[in-house]
Amino acid sequence: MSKPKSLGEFEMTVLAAVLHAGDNAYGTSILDEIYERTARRVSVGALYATLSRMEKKGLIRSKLGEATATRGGRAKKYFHLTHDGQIELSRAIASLNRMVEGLDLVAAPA
Amino acid sequence: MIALKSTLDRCCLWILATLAPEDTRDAVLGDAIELATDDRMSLWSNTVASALPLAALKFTALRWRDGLTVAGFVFAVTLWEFTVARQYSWPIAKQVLPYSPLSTAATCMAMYVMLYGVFALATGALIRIAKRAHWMPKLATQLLMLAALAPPVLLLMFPTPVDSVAFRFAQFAAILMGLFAGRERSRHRGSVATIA
Repeated sequence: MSKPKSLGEFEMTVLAAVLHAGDNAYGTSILDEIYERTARRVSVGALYATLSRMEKKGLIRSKLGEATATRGGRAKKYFHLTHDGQIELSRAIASLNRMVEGLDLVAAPA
Repeated sequence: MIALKSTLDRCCLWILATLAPEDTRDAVLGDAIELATDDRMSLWSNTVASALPLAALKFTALRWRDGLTVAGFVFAVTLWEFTVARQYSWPIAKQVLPYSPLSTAATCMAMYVMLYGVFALATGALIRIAKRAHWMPKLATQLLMLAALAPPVLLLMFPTPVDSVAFRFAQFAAILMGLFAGRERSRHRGSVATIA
C-alpha cells in the first residue's frame, strides 16, 4: 500500500469538484463546480497549479480535448481521478471527520 | 473603449501565455477566455489572481541543471565583459580609426558595443539550438536571455568613471538586437483576436 499523501483543504475541494464534474471535468467546469458549491471564485492559475501538483503526485490524470470557438480555439484539458486519488480523498475526508467528531461547532450560516 | 478593452485583454492573454508552463498554456488561456466571455470572471482579475501561482508552477519545472546553465552563462557573460569587450575594443578601434570620421572615444565605444552584439548573436543562436533540441524548458532559455543583460544592468547600478547611461543603453540595444537575430519565434503566440 502506498504511503498516504497529505491533502490540503483546497486540494480536497478540487478533487471533489473533479468528481462532481465527471466526464466533463476541465478547467472551467471544475471552477464552476467549486463556485456553485462553495461560493468561492478561484483563478485559473490557482486551479492549474493545484492540478499540476496533484498530477505529479499521481492523484489525477489529464488528457487533451477538443478546441472550441468560445475558447479562442484553445484545447480543453480534461482531468479524472486515479484510483490513488480516490483513496487519498476518502482518507483525507475520514481524517477530517475524525478530527471534528464530538466537537460542538457553531453552525455555519446558510 | 472597445479598442482599449481589446488591448487590455491582449495584454492579459500575453501575460498568462508567458507565465503558464507549456503543457498547460492552451488550457489556461482557453479557460480564461471562456470565463471572461460570459462575465464569470474578467480576464483582468483572472490574470492578477493567476500570476503568482502560475509563476511558481513554472519555476518548479526548472531542473537543477537549468539553474547551473544560467549561472554558468552569467559567469561567461561577465568574463566576456572584462576579458574580451574591455580588452579588445580599443585594439579593434585603432584599426578602424583611420576610416572613421568619429572621435576616438566614440569609435572605441562602438567597437565595445559591437563585440557585445557578436556575443549576443552567438547566445541567440545557442538558445535557438537548445530550444530545437528540447535541451531546456522555455523558462531557462528566457533566463539565459536575461543573463545576457546582466553586465550592463550591473554597470548601470555601479558605474565606472568612463560609463554613461547612453552608452549602457547602446550596449542593451546591441545585446537585444543580437538575441533578436538569433531568436526562434514562439509558436504559442498565436492569434488572440477571437476574444474581442
